[in-house]
Amino acid sequence: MILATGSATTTSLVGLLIAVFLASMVEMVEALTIVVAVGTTRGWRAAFRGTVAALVVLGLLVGIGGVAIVKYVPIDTLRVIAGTILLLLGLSWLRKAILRSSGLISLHDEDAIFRRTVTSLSGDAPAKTRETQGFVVAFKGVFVEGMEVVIIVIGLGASQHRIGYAAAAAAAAILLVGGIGVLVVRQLSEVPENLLKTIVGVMLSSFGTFWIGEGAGVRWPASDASLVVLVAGFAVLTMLLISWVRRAQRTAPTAPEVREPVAS
Amino acid sequence: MKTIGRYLVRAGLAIWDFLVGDTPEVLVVTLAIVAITFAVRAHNSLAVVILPICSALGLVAVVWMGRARINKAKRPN
Repeated sequence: MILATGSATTTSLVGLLIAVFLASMVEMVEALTIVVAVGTTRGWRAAFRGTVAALVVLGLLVGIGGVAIVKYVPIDTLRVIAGTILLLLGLSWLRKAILRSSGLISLHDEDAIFRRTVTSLSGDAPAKTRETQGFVVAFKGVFVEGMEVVIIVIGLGASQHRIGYAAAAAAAAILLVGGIGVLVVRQLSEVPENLLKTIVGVMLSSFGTFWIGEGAGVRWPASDASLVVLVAGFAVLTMLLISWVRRAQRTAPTAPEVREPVAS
Repeated sequence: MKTIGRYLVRAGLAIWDFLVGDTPEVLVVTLAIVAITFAVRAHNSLAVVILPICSALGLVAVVWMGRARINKAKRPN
């Protein structure tokens, strides 16, 4: 059981902290791009207010939703549901990261998103309208990107009854990315986002597989330490798939890479 | 009441789009893995082998389908 003491428990806690921290970092880099675009076109007050409002709403969702789920949903049911959502997100993130790494779809381009947002906000408007638009765009950007973090925090945190740890890891990532954003006053286009996404995808898929099993009553050998084996397995498989898709694309008739509509 | 209903529908659609979006095959694969896990859970030693293999095969399947879909979209008509 997860509440047992020892290295097995430490394994899942460390895994939880790393997965939530990296996932939050990826999403917050994307949100920061939008916030900086709002700040430079519509003023920093609107960008700041929109960001804070979105973070408060997201925090309330974790606080109220997470605690209620932990309190009222039986632990095994919770683990199956959380595991299913984590596996769903993990496979989606890995699929996208593998197709991007192999050049089949274009990398997530923070600079392009920044330019698009600036262009959409560049029109003339009265001061009050400009500020309201800035607030709305910043709020929406942070809220949409943050929702994925909320789901991961609740999914990973609730399945181990460690919502607090998960929320703290997410808050640390938000502070880190926000702090760097303030220092450089620029979106973080140099962040190796696809690599982070691959790592998080590997971890979410591993946790998802693990919790579906636990929730269904499967007892893993070595308890939580099995997570290490799952993470290693998914990491190796991901590298093999990247190399396979690259090789397959080289032999296939070529065409320009496509740009997928990306929300995350 | 009508407004609440509308908001609930919108929220439901947003969650669906967020979790599933344009890749329903990932949802199908995930649900299949859950179903297989429940089918074999009585045999623990089998389940601990089958479940990771299913997840791995699921990943291979969604990448395969993603690649095929993109290549199909690229192909000139």
